[in-house]
Amino acid sequence: MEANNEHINNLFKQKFEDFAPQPPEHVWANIASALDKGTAPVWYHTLAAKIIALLVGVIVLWGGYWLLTNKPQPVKKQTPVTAYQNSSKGKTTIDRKVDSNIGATTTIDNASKKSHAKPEHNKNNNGVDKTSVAPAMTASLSGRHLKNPPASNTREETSKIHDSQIALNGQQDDDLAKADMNQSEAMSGIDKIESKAVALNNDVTPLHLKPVTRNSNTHESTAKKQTGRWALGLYFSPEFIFDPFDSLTIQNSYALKVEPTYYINSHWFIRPGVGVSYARDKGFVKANYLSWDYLGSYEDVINVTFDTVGNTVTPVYHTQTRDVYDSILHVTISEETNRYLYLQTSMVFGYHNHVSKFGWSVYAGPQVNFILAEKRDNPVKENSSTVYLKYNLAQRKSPQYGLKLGVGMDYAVAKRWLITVEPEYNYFFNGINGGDMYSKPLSGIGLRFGLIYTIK
Amino acid sequence: MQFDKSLIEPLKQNNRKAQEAFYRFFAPKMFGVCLRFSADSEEAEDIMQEGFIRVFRYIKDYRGDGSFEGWVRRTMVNTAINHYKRRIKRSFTKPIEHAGSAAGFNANIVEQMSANELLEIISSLPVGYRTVFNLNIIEGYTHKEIGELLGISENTSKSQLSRARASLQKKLEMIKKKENLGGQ
Repeated sequence: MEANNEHINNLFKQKFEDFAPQPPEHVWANIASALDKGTAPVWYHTLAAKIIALLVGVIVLWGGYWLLTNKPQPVKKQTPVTAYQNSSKGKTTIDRKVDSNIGATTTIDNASKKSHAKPEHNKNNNGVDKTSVAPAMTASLSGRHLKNPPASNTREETSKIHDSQIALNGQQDDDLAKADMNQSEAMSGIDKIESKAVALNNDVTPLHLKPVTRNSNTHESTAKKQTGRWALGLYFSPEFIFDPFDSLTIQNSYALKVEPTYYINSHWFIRPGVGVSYARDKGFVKANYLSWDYLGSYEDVINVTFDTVGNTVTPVYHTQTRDVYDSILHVTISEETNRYLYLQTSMVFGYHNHVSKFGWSVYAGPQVNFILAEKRDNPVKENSSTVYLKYNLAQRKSPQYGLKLGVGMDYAVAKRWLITVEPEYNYFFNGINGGDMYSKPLSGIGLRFGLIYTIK
Repeated sequence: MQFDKSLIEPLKQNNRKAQEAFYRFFAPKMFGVCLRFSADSEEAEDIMQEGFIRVFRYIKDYRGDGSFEGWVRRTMVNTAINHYKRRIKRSFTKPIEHAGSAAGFNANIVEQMSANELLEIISSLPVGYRTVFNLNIIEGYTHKEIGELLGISENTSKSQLSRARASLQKKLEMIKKKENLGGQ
């Protein structure tokens, strides 16, 4: 029996070894069509995703590097210059306060030679001990004349400092008189003061130049600080897509995005964004399926033979039990809900302006959305796992390419904090659903609510 | 005739002309494979279409060792198995015909029949029997491998094959009787 089975097996193998019927020509046409749809977008999608990831990465790295390399200057070095800058008439003059500073500085210089100065003289108005600073500055500045006058001081002002200093030299206290400073030393001291003024004046930051405006106008301060700076925004937005298909109702979707904004200058900005969104589709869908349900059986006559008993010919029916399965194509229309979780990426370029604490902006740029997860209702009946299922449902595709255009209105609630509302229009080039009938462009609107923090 | 392996590289680069040449070369043979796993020609076309798309998609993974035709054929068989997996499971729970003995299998009838005639008989088998028969008898898979592929036990695979044989035997005997009747 085994040998017979083996023989039969070999016979079947041989019969089918060279069995090569020609398939219909339309099979290749279908394959080519499927390849056109499937392969072309792959590199395109991958490339687009890579470009966006690269841009976001470069901007984040750039911003990080900028933040690390642009630390604010220590305020204590600027303190002596405050006296110069606080001139009531916009000119640089030396008042009694300055005298004490100069005196103190001079005393330190002399003290380094003759140890006359008392320790308390070495404190400036802010109590900063200058004994550690002055010798180093003296060492670096001594014997060198002023080459670059202060940017904000005119030559005339510089001459005033000279004249005042010379005049003050004649009124030095007894300690200074005892120091028997000669003219060259005095000039050297003046040079040091002037050089300090130059160095410190160059270090002056907007903190000193615009102390009033910053405190009185939060938004203006924030806007000015935005130049070449970063802001980080957290946005929440309900979105609604306009869908022309009756069979599908797209529910509102909700997105949460984090968008760092880089201000190229005081008005123009670039804003990469990444976030997640939750979307739902609800509607009536049609499904065609085969259930192959078992319906029953019947006895099939497969042969008839005739037996002769005596002179009577009797037909003998040979039957076989045939099981019947449901092979009818079923059509079902049911309501279902599909749920999707998206990764949203965007890169917009925009313009921002402000009036007092209020600001407005316009922006536009590309966006690409990727489906991270999806949950689709099964439109066919329960226990139909064995069916040959062929159904035409609107299924969202990934990625989705689009453009966004938005306007924003913001309000400065604190020195670094803004709240914003941004109506937004989204346009998807090939729709958001797969399949030819759904691949038409779609529009959507959204209303974004954002909280923005100005980093520096 | 052997397939020109120099076409594999263009295939990996999704060259459409190479894909068409590849298809023209393998399509008849693979269509024969698909027909054996199918109940009708339409389903065979579906399986072959899906199988070739899988081949073009995964050809990057072909490392060049082993028979190229064997790799293509395995891909096609796996596609057929995936296509019918659910239906196979259902059919196993409801044997269509009672298992019988394969002892009297008449080899002469098989020898006299053409591949198309045998295909007609195989296609009429329930999907479960047909799949196990194809995998074991024609493709040479062991029962253990079939069990792993279809998610059934080794014994179930043996049982299905036995029933497939019995069913084929009945059908062949029927044909023989018809021929005898025709000859009378």
